[in-house]
Amino acid sequence: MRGDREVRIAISASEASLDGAVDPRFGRARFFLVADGRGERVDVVDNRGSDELPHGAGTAAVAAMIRRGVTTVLTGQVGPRAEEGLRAAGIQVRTGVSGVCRDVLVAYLGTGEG
Amino acid sequence: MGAAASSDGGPLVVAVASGKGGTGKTTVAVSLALTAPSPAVYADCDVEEPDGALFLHPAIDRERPFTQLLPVFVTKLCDGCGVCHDVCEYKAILVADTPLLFADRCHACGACAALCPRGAIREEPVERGAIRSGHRNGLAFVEGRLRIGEASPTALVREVRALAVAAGRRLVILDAAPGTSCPVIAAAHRADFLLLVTEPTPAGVADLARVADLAAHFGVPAAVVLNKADLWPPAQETVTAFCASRSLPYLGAVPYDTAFHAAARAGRSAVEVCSPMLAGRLLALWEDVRAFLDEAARARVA
Repeated sequence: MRGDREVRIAISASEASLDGAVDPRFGRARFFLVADGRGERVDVVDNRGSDELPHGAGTAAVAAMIRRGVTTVLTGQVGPRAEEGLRAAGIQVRTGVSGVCRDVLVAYLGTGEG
Repeated sequence: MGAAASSDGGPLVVAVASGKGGTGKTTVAVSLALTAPSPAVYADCDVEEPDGALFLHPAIDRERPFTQLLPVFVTKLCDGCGVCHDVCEYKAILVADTPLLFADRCHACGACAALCPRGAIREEPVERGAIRSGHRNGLAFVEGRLRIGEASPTALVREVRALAVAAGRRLVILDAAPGTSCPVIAAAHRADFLLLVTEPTPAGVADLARVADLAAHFGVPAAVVLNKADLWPPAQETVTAFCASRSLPYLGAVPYDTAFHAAARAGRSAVEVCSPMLAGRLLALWEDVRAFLDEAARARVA
């Protein structure tokens, strides 16, 4: 049902810039950088409000991904509920990602879905 | 007997808490319950690992399921607006193509069902634990037992507490969970008296400070008993100094003795099995506790 969705890639980021490092956490990431499929446009999602959530940061972050039409998440680690939520929303996840966000995005776009 | 009296007709409620686990809460609570000077009820509020029954061996008169109303989505009515996710304090609902409930996170508050603009959420009872009640001779017994895998014990603690208070006994002894989080607060925050059991270890002392903060925050009178006191004598001074600094009455020490282990292995309470000296020390606690309960009863009148 979402097969024709436009590709949108979210990277959990420690800074509001592609030059910063990947934030290793998904739910409590400082920011998300949401890029289009060609890496030409990058939106910044401020997720620092997750610090205020005693519970449910993971599912709240999934909701933010859904609102932004994200199709793929690149991050370090995803909690169990967020993982289930992302799966239910049909969003692909690649974990174990680290390094500078720009390099991560370029590498991902270079290899495509692989 | 003063401890039996409560001016407003309700029972006097004593909660036994510790901060750290393994300090001897249940040992003390069970011993107090078995030697209570007035008709009492023992309530096991440590619903994630209730163990009072292992020592009390109560006759169980009634066992019933503990259920909560959880949301069920009528997906054909849902338009995906996300209000349920937004109002959920624990973000236990996620609206993807259809709503998804993370039941272990759900505190059954009912906000999603009440506020869904499409009426697409109804509530159905789900069993999340059990409540057993019974007696041992004159002592009434209540226990909450959370189902394995459930993450939210607080509502069950509240229900166990309410049943204990309604049991028609003049004295309620609540055996609280370790820690200082919601389940402990649910048992302790409206108690007339909080008995804090600690041990002479760094963690025991540090967690005593946390649970003393809890007592102060909720304005519950508290006093401290040091269990296994001679295990590490310098800590006894640390505890007494802490009590003095916080104006917390120090009720004294229960010595370390392997007789407590033997009692536990035999599934018996310490007061039944231990030497007269040890049992006497536990019984003497009542004298001190009674003084505080009298004080609490007077405070109610005032």
